[in-house]
Amino acid sequence: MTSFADLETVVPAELSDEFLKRLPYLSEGLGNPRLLPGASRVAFELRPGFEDQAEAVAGRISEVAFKLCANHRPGITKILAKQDSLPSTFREDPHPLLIEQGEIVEFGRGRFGLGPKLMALTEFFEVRARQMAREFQAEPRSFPSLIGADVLDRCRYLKNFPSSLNLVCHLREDHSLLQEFARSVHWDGKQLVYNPAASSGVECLLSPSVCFHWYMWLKDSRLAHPRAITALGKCFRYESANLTGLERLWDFSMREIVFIGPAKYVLNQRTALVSLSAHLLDELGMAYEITTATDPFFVDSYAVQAAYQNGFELKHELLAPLPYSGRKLAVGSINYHQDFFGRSFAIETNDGPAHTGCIGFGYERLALAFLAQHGVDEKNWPDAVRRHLHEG
Amino acid sequence: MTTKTEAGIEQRIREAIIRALRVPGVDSSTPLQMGSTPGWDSMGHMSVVMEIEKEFGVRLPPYRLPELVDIPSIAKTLETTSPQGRFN
Repeated sequence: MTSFADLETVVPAELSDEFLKRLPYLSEGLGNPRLLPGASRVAFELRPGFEDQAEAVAGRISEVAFKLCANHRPGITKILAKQDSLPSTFREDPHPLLIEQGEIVEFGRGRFGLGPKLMALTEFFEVRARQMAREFQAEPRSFPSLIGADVLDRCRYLKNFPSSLNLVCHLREDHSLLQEFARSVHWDGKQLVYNPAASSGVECLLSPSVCFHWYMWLKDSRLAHPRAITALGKCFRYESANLTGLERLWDFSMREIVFIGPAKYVLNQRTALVSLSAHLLDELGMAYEITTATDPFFVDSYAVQAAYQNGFELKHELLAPLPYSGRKLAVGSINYHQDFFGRSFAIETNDGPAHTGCIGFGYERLALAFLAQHGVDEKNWPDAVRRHLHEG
Repeated sequence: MTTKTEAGIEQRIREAIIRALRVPGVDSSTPLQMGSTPGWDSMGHMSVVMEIEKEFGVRLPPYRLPELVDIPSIAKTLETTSPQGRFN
């Protein structure tokens, strides 16, 4: 049965996607929420076992709408670079074709394996991204997929993005609990069933980003000169019902180039990044826009943080149109954090707390956008990419 | 020359900033500036903005936020905030 939430406010058009993306986190029983015409009423279904929670869920939906909209300040989206022309007439969703060709397999929500053609494509991106990193004399680094809870606490990530966290635990060092676990653990078709008392506390999480490790590396230090590094990492962000094929993964690969130093240095690198990113997307023969953007901060502080980020133009996204859906997908982002991480990790320069910035390319998303625009037949791909596939 | 009204506005701005940042031991001669006043960093800035908005009954669009770095610049921004720029 369909239930409804009547909102105290009209959700502005520019916030409707942001609003709908928050709703899956409100209740495990909530399904298929949609904003009705007029943007002040939400229809939703309740999953079996949650039928008596309509009023409570409607109240939470209304609260989210109020928090997002009451302090909303309409921002300006600036376009920094743009290529409108799609490279082909291909308009299909590549997912079914890639499954048919054995190029992707879905292991579970947000978890995909990639086949040889997609690996070759992402290796091409990797070659180009590392060339870009060399232009900045960025040193190569490697970081773990696990990140300390202390690191994410120090930079307020735990408070700003709680819904996307992936807590890691292990079994406690307790022989009888381990024996009981080994005897009783089983998969019930949806989740692992075991005695939660056997679980440890949370010391680490799966890392949501690459650059946080670098700031922790430099904590409590004074930089003699600006520094640039680059690293490829697996990143993890739980996205609930928003997990959608290669568009929105739980577990994805990101190449970052990270800058730290005085504000002027970081801002200069950011300017160069916009131009080099546009050049890379041109080489890939893709349609794209590089625009100002905001992060999906937790709903309680979204309006304020998004206004700040928009006002100071701290985030730029590399958006690629997906012809099969008409939507645009962020395949990368360029971020300027001002002195936030410098202060959070006590990293100083001669000019005060260090400023930081980074670019991150999401390889699976970039591959999807490339295939959505060019098609899955490599004969139709740009020469540079085909040469790489054949010559390595 | 600073008029009596301008001085009054600057005083209201000063008091709003102090309320927002909860800065201890500030007297009328202490300069208040984003980046150098304790607490007035990227996180504190939005507290300052919201307190200023509350004090003056305005809502400032995001693109004006970077202008608000000290008392004179806030006064100037408020002065040039047209009725169209006021959302409340």
